[in-house]
Amino acid sequence: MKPAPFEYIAPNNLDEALIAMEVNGFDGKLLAGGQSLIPVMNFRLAQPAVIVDLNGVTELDFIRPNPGGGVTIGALTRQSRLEHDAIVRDRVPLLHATIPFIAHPQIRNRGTIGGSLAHADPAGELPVLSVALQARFKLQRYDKERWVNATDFYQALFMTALEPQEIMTAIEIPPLPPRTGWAFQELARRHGDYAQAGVATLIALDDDGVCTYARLVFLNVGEIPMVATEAAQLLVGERISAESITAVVNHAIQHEIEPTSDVHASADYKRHLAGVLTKRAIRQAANRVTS
Amino acid sequence: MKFTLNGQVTEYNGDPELDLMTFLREAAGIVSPKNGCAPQAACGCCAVQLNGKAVLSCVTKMGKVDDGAVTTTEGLGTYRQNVYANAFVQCGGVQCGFCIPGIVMQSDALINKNPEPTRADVEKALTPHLCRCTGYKKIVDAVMLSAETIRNEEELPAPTGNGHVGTRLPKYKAQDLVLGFHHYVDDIRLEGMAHGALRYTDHPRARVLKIDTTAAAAMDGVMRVLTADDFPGDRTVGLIKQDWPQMIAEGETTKFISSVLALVIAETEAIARAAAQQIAVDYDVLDPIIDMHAARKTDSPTVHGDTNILSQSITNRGDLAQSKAESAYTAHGIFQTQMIEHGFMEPEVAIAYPSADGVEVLSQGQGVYDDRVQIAKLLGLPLDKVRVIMVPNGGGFGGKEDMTVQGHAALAAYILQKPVKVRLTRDESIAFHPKRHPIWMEYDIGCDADGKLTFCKVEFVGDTGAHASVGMKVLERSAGHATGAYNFPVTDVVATAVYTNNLPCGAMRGFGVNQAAFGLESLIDELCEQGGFDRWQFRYDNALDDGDMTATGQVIEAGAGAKTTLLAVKDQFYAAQYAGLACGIKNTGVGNGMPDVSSAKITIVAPDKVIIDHGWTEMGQGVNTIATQVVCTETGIDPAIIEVHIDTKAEQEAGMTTASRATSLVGNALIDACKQLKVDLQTHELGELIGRSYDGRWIVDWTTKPGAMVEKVYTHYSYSYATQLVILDEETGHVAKIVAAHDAGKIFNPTLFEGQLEGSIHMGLGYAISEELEMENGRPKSTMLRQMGILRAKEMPEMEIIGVEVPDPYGPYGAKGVGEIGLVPTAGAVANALYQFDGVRRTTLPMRIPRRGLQKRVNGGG
Ligand SMILES: Cc1cc2nc3c(=O)[nH]c(=O)nc-3n(C[C@H](O)[C@H](O)[C@H](O)COP(=O)(O)OP(=O)(O)OC[C@H]3O[C@@H](n4cnc5c(N)ncnc54)[C@H](O)[C@@H]3O)c2cc1C
Ligand code: FES
Ligand code: FES
Repeated sequence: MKPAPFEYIAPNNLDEALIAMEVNGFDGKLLAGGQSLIPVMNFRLAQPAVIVDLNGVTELDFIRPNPGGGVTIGALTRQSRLEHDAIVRDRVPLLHATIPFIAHPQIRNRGTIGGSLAHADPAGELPVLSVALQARFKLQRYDKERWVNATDFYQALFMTALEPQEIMTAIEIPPLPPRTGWAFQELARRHGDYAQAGVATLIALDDDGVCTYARLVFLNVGEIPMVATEAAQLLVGERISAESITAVVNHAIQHEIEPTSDVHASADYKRHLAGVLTKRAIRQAANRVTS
Repeated sequence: MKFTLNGQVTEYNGDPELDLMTFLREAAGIVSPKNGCAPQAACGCCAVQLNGKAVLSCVTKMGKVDDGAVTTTEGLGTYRQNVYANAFVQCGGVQCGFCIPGIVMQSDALINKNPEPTRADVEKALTPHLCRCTGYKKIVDAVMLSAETIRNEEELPAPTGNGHVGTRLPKYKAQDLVLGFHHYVDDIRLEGMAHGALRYTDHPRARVLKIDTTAAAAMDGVMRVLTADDFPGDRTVGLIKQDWPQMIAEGETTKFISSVLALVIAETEAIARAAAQQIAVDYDVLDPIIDMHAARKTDSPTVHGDTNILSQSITNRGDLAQSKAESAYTAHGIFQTQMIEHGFMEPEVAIAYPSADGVEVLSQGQGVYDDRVQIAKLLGLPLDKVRVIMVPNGGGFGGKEDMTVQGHAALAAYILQKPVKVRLTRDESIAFHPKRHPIWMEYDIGCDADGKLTFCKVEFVGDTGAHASVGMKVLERSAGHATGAYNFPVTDVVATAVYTNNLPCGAMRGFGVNQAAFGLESLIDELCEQGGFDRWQFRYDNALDDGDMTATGQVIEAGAGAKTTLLAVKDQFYAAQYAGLACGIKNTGVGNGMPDVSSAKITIVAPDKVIIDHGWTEMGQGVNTIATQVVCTETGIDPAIIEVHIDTKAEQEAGMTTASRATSLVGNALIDACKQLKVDLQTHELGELIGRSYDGRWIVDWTTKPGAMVEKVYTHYSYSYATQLVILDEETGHVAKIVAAHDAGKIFNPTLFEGQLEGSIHMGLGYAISEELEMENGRPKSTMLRQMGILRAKEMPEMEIIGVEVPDPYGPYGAKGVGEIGLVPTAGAVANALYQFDGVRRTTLPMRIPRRGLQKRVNGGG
């Protein structure tokens, strides 16, 4: 199918883009990599009257190290650039290692970090990572700007804190606490497909191997990235062992995720899968802790 | 690279990162795109067309222009130029004019794309544009008229008239303003002109230990770095109190975040700014004094001298305790208002150049005579060696009363013996010029069982920031207007102005009166609610009449117009479901024992040229048009042959263009000047009077100083009155309509009158619901114009202006000032309407209304 007719605006810089959204926000849509937007428009699931193309706004394509550690990434930065960037590799290895799970290289060459975060697909890797890493998003409107935590950004299925006129312009990822290991695990039917379930994990251990911090965020087992706060808390103060992991996993999959059945997998299967992946992820993250 | 500029092929081989606005203004000499905020992309004044689309030239890189076509107003062709110029003038869509050329280019792009736009289309297209003068309504009228004219391929002749008082004489020389051909100070280029940039302190309060200018002075292109020691005269000036050093010397303590430490003069502005950054400063950093309540206490460190209390204004009358005890109903409230930015579209700039034995200054300030006195003091020169020429400015609203850069430009020109321009960027402007006072107030009022007001007790505390400016007068005005447009037999009012290290606060349209009206009008509604009184009738029964007294005890002898304005909104008030009312009163003239003086001169230069000289600042409000109208009415001279000049050389004494007084004073002075001219014209043709001048003068020197023991108090020679009605959207609680009934005594020019009021309402509504300049530890949280909360075209509600004429005994033809009262009642009326909607009594400004609207209160309303 072809998309419904729309007006096309191609701003040359961020200010023009902000103005275009201020004027057209209610019936307009931003176009970044187009990898999610064009398909939904082709199927006429979205019929915006105006398209504001961000691709000329090159000032939003950047990766900057933050003085205190961590990085700030421009929303228009392509996913493929994150995959090959040394700053990202050194400072946010979890993000660096996870990008290859997203679709195929051609799609990552177009798809942007901001587009993926704003699209808010519960099966998307980047929303889950942003919540796991406690990133903050800069949301700009013509006359105001604000920073919103990733944890507050995702509200319901494909629903975010973005106002119609707002543009996500930057993503700030803080440094990991010291002695923190990380892991990302997912299972897709074929490589490059959206995963059936997945989990991002962060574990910090003290010198005696006792867990001082844990974070578990799940993919595709709820309307938004699902944070297993209570389960993670069960691990704090414990050593990593088969027992402690089982207790954590059981609590998480029974109480803190809400999978629904879809054409590819039943809810029960996803629950089971999430458990298996979490076990692996916790071990892997614990193994990555370096002093 | 190559591109076409207004049809001409143009080559450019410079930096592709340079912005188009700088190229146009500095390299191509096209100054119709105005620099209101570059590079903030907030105001739209710089808009031009690139390939038929309107773009903000301040953020368009030259690299993007390659192969394209750039059009400015100069390239519109005479037909369209005429259509836009005449449409804007005819509709009154142009006041100071600074925003208009950009709006013309945006509208032209819209009309090309959509020849039949709706008002909503126009308002939407104007999103990137701010106008601080008009309230947008007349701009939209003008764009609609332009579109229609162009669509029908018609001509639009220049509007004309006989110019008599009461007619819609087109604004003086406004066609040039529309097309951007008027040269504001920043548009003026002088041969060999150098540029200055200021180096500010890095801390609001710090002792300056050392200022090292060596690196800056050594930079290529830097001509001189000036510091406090370079002032030949006394570097500390001020409008009333001399407390504002134009530069801080080593060993002294800074007063606020824009205290100036040095001035760099260089061949270009860019070099000057870069060099200013190279000035190294050592400080002993101190905690800034930021809370006015703490600053009042005796143990607080001080900003100046040994107390932070700048002034205290007290008025009282009657026995408060008794009146309170006898009142059937009393209402009490504590209110806090916010600091706001004036938001004039033209940031501050001055050009100075040496004259034979002194300096001349091109100023856009609101008072060329005050500028002159202060500059003469800085340079240690006698007054007659300093000439200040007023260049009609891009808006003032009170924010251009104090000097910002005039003194610095004059110093540099005098020392270097060269023309020098000093300009503030928007960020600098926001952090520098005095703002509207945040005022804390505690109000107690009462009424008897029949709803007659009994007493009014108020305490005002205002944060005047780092310098006095006119802060003592602002708080004095709050006190003097504490009882609003009502008759209170018993009053007890005290208003205190307190120094802190925050941005200075000074004059801004409304001048302390808006704040008081917000508190008072909120409590009037509280009394109505308690006693079950009708909100309109209660106001009507208590409104000032001839013979009643103001807060200061002045008996209104004649011209009390409050009741008439209430009657004008009565029917609409009762018809609306959710509505709020507020009344207002505002002085004309500074009064309070200070003289209001005006002189003016009419010179016959040729059979077809008559010059009026006066000393009042044209800042969009139309004082030059008013002056023309008076002379036409008195003498029958054709307005087309009249020119108006403002220049200190003409020695036409005036004061600051403030206190809504220009119309009234210039009018009376000119009527006086016309007396002899009229006589001469009975026996002579105009051509026979060539070379003659007619002087006129008018003085009010009989007002009463506060606290003076006199039989009859005259705080101000005149007052104007208003009632505003705010009607809310029945579903969301957003402001849907504002009806403003204003008593102007005599409406000189309905177009200017409506324009002043629509502009005031825009400012008053912003004050009520969205505007705020937030401070944090002595620094503005943001210096972005976009974030000041100034309302845009599509955010404006419907406005209806109702003119009422209750003649004033002293005003020319009965006229009263209308420059400021337009925003006095607005915030109170909005607060009262919102209370009807959701039952919440709001006591702080701004009263932000969420985009999604408000929750209606469950029972009641209406
Ligand atoms: C075959 C295929 C397989 C895929 N597989 C995966 C996968 O396994 N995992 C995965 O995570 N993703 C997958 N994707 C999606 C891909 O990652 C998209 O690139 C991404 O979801 C959207 O990014 P975009 O830049 O293309 O955004 P667009 O499609 O341009 O925009 C997406 C949405 O976000 C909005 N938007 C874009 N930028 C901004 C901004 N800066 N501020 C505010 N709103 C903005 C748009 O208006 C739109 O609503 C797949 C896509 C395809 C076509
Ligand atoms: S100067 Fe360009 S938008 Fe203000
Ligand atoms: S006329 Fe628009 S800002 Fe003055």
